[in-house]
Amino acid sequence: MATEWSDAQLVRRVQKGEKGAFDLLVLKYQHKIVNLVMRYVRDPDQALDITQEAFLKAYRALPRFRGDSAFYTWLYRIAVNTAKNYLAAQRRRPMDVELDLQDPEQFDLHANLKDTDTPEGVTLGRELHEAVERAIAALPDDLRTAIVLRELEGMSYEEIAQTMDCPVGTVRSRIFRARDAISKRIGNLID
Amino acid sequence: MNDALKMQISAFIDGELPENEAELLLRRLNQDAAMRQQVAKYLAIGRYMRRDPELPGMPELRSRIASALGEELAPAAQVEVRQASWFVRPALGVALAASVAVVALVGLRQSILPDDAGPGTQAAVEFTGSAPSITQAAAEDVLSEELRHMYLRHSASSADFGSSGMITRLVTLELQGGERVRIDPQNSAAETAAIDSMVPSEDDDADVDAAGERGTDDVNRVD
Repeated sequence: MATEWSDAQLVRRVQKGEKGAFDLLVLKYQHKIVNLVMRYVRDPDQALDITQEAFLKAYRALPRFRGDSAFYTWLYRIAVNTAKNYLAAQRRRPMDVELDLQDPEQFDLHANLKDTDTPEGVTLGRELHEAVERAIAALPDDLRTAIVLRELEGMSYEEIAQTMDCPVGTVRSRIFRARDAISKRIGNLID
Repeated sequence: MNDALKMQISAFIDGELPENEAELLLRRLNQDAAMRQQVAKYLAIGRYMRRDPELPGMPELRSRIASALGEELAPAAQVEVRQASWFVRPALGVALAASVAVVALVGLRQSILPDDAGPGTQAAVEFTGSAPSITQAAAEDVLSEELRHMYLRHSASSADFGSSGMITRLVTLELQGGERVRIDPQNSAAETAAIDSMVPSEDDDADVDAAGERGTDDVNRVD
């Protein structure tokens, strides 16, 4: 049976002292947390600082995390509190509306970030997107379909297997080969 | 990293890896920063495909957090350094020990050289930078042909390990505390010539003056 890239599994490992597991949690959630913090501060550097602080607080508090709530909800609250404390320290008011803590996924993530794009960031971002699109266009049909169904449609391997009329193992292999091919083509831009 | 492992990582980030494989992979991911970098790369591809927004400075955030937690995330470089250190460290230890021995003997040698020991001796004096005190004959008793070869062997082995005799020079500076002498590290041939001039060998018909001149060039006194 397949397992989710389980937060609980990673949290247990961090609680045993495995820092690498915390690195995986950072990888998994850093973008979401930065986007969340950007609802409070417009300055990207400040947002990154607050995000870093939120992760550090979470790491220090993880030994006491009992798992009563989902890890991300807990991390989300830490990030919100860190951002609010930062603003209080700056004697500024949050610029945005009240957030619904029950639904952290509802933000329009693009809206704030577009305002803060630097010319360099825009150029690199455009280069990357174009490079990825070229890489996807160059893939064989079966690989391209598999990766698009996974990354853009969010389908499970089982659903992709049904759609493409092939075994799940083949889907797994195709998605990997697609990622590997894209990675090789854009490697110099993302390393 | 082989393709089988990368395919596991690919399925892992999709939450599609069987539980037993995921558990094993997690164990390896915890130990291996390069594997976690592969996770980061595959996640990034998904973000670029979806055109998710990304702040400038975002790629460094993970390293910043790791640094703050006291762990560096420099996957490839760190692994390479760790792999190299197992043989470099003993080699440096051997080179250092040999250097100390040679320098101590060279120091002893120059401490017993006479004031009027001739051009070859002068080169040695300039090389070591301190005053001689007793006769050439006594010096030759102390410094044997074997010592000279030992020094040359050491220089060669140091070069093999990439240190180019640097440690020898550093130790030389340390031991000559009273008068600081800087010796350029690329001049091992001239340095050898200076040693040649100090210790006569059976086939030693080299131009001592020339060796002495080179020796002088090689040694830069620093006030």
